[in-house]
Amino acid sequence: MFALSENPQLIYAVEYFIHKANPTGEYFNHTTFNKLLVELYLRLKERGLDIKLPYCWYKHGCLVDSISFQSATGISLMHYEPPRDSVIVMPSLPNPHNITFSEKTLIQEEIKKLLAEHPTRSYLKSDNREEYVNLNYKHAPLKFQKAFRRSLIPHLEYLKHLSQNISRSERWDLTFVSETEALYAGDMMVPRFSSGLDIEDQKKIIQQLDDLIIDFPRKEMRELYRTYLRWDDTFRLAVKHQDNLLKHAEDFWGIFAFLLRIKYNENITGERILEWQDDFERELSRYTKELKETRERLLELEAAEMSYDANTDRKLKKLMTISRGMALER
Amino acid sequence: MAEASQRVINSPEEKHSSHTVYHECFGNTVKNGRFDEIQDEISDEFFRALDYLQREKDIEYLRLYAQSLKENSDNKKNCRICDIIEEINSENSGDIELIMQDLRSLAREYEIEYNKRKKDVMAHKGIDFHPSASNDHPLCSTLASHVANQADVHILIDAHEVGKKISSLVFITGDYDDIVKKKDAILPLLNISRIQGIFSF
Repeated sequence: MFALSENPQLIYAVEYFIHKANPTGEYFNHTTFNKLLVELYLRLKERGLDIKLPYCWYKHGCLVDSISFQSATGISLMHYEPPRDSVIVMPSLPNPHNITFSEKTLIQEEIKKLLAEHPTRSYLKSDNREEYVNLNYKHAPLKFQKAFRRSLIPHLEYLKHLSQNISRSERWDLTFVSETEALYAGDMMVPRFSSGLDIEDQKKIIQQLDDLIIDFPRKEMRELYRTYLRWDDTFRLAVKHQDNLLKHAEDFWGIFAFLLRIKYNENITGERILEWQDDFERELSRYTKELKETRERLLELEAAEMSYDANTDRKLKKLMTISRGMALER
Repeated sequence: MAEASQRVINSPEEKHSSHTVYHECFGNTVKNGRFDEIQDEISDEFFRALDYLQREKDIEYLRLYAQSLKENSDNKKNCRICDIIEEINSENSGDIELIMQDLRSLAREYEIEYNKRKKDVMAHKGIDFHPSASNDHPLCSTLASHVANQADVHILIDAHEVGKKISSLVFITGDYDDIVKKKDAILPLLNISRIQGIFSF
C-alpha cells in the first residue's frame, strides 16, 4: 500500500485541462489525453511550476502511471479516464484548495495556450493519435529511441503495407507520418508499387541499422547492449532473407520499451520501479530465448547459401579450438 | 587437453554419456549450458568488434579496446579473437568495410558450425546419451564422502547405471584431482570396469 498524499496542483491541472479541452462532451481518447497532459507538465515545469505528474516513456511515447498518480493525489486515474470509455466530461470549473493564485493562473494560462495550438480540437479526432505521440517525441531523451520508433518502424510499416497492395491514398498517409518525423529516412518514403523488398529497400534499411548502431545508448541502456548487438546482426539476416521485418523490429522495441520506462520517468513511486524491474528481467529472459530461436532459424537459411573456402575453414577451426579451450578451462 | 578430448570423441569405440553431462554442456529449458555460454561469449566478441568498427571506422580503436581488455583481463572479458581480427585486417589491407564484412561472415559461420555440431550431438550422432539417475540414488552419500563436487558424484552415478547395461565400461575423465586420484576408493563402489585419465587414452 502507498501512503496517500494529495497534490492539489496536479489535481487542479488535470481537472481544469479536462474542463477546457472538451466542453461539448465529445469522445476524448486516453492516448491523446495522456500525451497532452505530459506536454502540459513539461511546459509548466519550464515555467517554474512542478506539478509532479507521474509519467514514463514507454512503447508509444509517454504514459501517465495510474498507480503513482493515485499515490500522489489520492484519486484513481480511472476516475478521469474510465476503462474503454472517453475521458470524463467536467462541465463545471474545479474548485481548488491549497493552491496559490499565481499557481492557478499559470496552470490556466498554459492550458489555454496548449489548447489554442489545436483550434479545431484536433485532439478529439480518433485518427489523430500519432500527431500527439509526435508531440511527446519532441522531448524524447534518446536519439536512438526517436530513430527506431519514429523512423525505422514507420519505414517497415510502410514497406509492409506496400507489399500488401493497399490503396495509393493509404500509402501517402503512411508516407506523411513517416516523413514528418524521419531522422534518417531521406528519400526512402517515396511511394513505390512493387511488392517485397528490392535491393534498394534492403540497402536503405541496412543504412538505418548502421546509423542506429552509432546512436545506441551504450551507457544509459547497458543492460540491453549485448541483446541489441545480437538483434542487430539477426535483423540484418532477416533483411537479407526478407523475414518478418516489422515483427522483429517491434519485438526488440518491446523489450527496449520495458527498460525505457525504468530509466526515463518522473515522479514514479519506488515500489512501481521495482515492479517494472521485475517485469523487465522476466521479459528479457523470454525475449533472449525468442531471439535465439529466430537467429538459429535465419542462420539455417544463411547456411544454405554459404560456401566455405580453405581460409575460412582454417579460421573456423581456430575458433573451435579457442572454444574447446574455454570449455576445458571451466 | 583439447587433443586428448578429440582423441576420445574420434575413437571408434562405443561412446556413452548421460543427460546430466548433456545439460551441463547444452543447457535445458531454463538454463543455458556451458557450451552455449562459450559460443555466446565468442559471438559477443565479434559483435562488439563490429560495433567498434561501425562507430569509429578505424582498426586502431579496436586494437586499443582489445588491449584494454587484455590489461584488465579477468579472463572472461579477454579478447580471444584478436589474432583473427588482425589476420582479417591484413587480408583486407585495412579496408574497414571489407574487414567488417569478413568479420560478420565469420561470426555467422562460427555460429552455424556450432549449431551444426550441437545438432549432431542432439541427434546422438556418435554418442549415446542415457537418462540421469535420480538425485536420491543410494550411492550418493557414499560417493560424496570421496568426491567433493556434487556434479561429479551425479556423473559417476550415471556411469554406474549405464555400466549395469553395458559391460566393460571405461570411465574417461579429465578430472584428475577429484576422480582419477581417488579411483581405488571409488571403483569398487561402481559398475565400471576402469577409470582412466583422459591423457592416457
